Amino acid sequence: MTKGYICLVLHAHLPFVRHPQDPHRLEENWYYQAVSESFLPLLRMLRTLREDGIPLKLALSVSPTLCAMMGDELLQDRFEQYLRNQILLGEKEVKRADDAAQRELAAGYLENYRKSLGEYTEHYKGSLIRGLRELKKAGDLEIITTGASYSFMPLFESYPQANRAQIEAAVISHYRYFDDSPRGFWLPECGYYPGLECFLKREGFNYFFTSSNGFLNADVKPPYGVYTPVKTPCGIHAFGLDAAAMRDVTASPGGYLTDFSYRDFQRDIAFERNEAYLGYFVYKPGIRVNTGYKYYAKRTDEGGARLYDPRMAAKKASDHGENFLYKRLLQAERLQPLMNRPPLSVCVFDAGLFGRWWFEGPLWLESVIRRLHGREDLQLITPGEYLKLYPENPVSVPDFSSWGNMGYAQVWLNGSNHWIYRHLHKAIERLTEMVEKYPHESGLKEWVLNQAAREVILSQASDWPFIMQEGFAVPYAEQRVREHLYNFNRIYEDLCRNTVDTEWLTRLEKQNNCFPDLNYRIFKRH
Amino acid sequence: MIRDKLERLSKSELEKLAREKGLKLDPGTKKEYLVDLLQETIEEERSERELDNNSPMRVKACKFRIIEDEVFQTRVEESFPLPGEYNENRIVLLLQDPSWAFAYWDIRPADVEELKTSRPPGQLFLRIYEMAGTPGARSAKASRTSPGVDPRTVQDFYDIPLNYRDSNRYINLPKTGAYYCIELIAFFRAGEKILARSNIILSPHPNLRTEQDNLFFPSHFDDPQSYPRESEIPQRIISDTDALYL
Repeated sequence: MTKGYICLVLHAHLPFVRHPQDPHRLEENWYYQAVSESFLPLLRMLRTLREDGIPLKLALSVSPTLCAMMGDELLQDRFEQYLRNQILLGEKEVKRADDAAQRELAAGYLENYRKSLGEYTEHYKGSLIRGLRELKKAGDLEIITTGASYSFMPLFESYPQANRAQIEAAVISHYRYFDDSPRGFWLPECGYYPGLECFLKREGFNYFFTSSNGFLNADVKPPYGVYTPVKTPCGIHAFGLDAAAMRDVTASPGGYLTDFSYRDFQRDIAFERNEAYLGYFVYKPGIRVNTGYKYYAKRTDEGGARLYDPRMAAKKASDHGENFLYKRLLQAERLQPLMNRPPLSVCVFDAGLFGRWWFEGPLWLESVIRRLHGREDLQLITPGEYLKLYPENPVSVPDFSSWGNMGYAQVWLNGSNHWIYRHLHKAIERLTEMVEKYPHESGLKEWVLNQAAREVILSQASDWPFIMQEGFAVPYAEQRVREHLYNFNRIYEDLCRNTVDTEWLTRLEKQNNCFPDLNYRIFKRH
Repeated sequence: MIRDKLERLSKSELEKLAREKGLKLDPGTKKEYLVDLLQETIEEERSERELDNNSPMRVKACKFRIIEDEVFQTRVEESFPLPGEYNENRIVLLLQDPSWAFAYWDIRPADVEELKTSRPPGQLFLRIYEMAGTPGARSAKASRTSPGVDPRTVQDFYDIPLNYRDSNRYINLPKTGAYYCIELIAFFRAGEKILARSNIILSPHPNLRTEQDNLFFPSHFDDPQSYPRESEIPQRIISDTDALYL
């Protein structure tokens, strides 16, 4: 008898970073490292499960900007180059290893990167989208979407056309890459305000996710909390996040990923070898970029450095998978008597956590999925399957919330980043004004207006205010916001003067080439 | 590593970085002292950030950590200049959390000039209106059709005096579950002139947690390290009495 359901959701997102004119751009490494350390190992793990006949039953949100980067030929070529450089470095590492244990570790990494290169070039033909589509075909992996540029929507509540545009552009992008309309929506940073759900419903979505404090403060408190979804009056379902279950994994201290057996993400050879040796992984003198070669386990309380033991870590990841399910079962047994159905535990994780920061994360996930296969008391379920099983749910409207610190908008609106909103909002107003002025343009003017809309959408990415408040890569984040707004304002002023700098716009379109199907009219005020 | 990188910067770059971090410097500050000061500030900021972040934010931050330390590049504002003003009167209110909102505004240069040149000089105020909420009816419809500044719905208001050069402010919301709207007001001897009126926001009304709620509504935010500290509050508002006259 089923005592509880577990819904695992991975969300994969990176801001659009692509600099054709700069072959060695530091920030493009965000993407390369995520693909090399997280996405390729995750895909490999999922394919292995599929080959073993184990249904995946996961929901995976892939952001439109990430899809655009995965599908971009320039970044595909550059990533291949990155991977080849990881392999070259690995070959040097195997030769220079201090002892047999370190050599074995280096050889292990090298083998993984070689395997990744083979999969990347031969199986995926350079495009991870191909791998995702292949997994999706079997029907048990729900690929969902998120805001076009991952904007934090509550801060654009007064500009509903901007939030609608983020949603509509995401649907169009999803269709381009996955040939169907997405049914689920991962609200960027779980940022929600009452009313947003109606825009999602209008675009054909069946469900979205909100944080547990949004559920707690809903207009009608859901009787079973986050352990059943709620149905909003406009008919779309909201799933609440089970923060307790997620904390078992990611809490620091105390979460599985902080275990001392696991690999230390921080101790990369980039900071231990000389710059001449590192070569490609030195951005410029003094700035060394993570290489992926890390030989030490996390420091214990005593602080001693210990060589990483992959076998012990793999065993621990499997044990942690078992422990996670043990805790979910205890949780389900405690909740079920208080409910009219088995509780649903929704756990959302950033896909970038697995493999890169938490090296053993894919093993943990594999352990959870394998252990759940064929089990009756706990079952893995996707949001879509759950809604087919339980179409009727308590009616309620969650409250303004996010999964950021303190549960509201503090991360994206504070002294470090509030200056951007004056300009972002103005750009939306100006673009809306242009849509009203030029509702039926075609040819050159339509092309210009589409690029204007692209720049506005890109400027709204929540990653930039996040980075500003985090305090690293701030100049880059500020420059990106400024650059997109500058580009937009220049187009706006040119249109007001009835002039167009086609040469500059062509260059701009080549650089910021995501959302190729964008239609500026999505910014229409309804 | 931080020190190495700081030492590579020129004295003028260090001074610019220090200014960006809000540090006050004496004219003859030596480079070595600047490096010490910046190192200490950066390390302190980093450790505060790490403590403040909850799990999802820590994970997110990690995606962007590809180098050991921050790159000490100073800002390049001149590359992509943004308008300093938009030559219009407008005010926008953004909700930060149930207790705080952020307002930013623009005033036409002509209106600022009028304030400055009138005799006696005009005063600039923010007037914060608290209006009746509709608890329990926070549906999409209720949110979008929230009441305007109608005297019948206004429950209370207070003023905050401004300098002509101010352009934004964090505002403490006295009550949760209420609607708020702000007017930007110029005060002349002859009377008040409303320069701009903001959008309306609804401050969320957090429900009280029962023991059963702890079971059904697990929170991301129960880590004591995540609780706000006094120093995080961006600014204090001026009392109503102070606000009457500058």
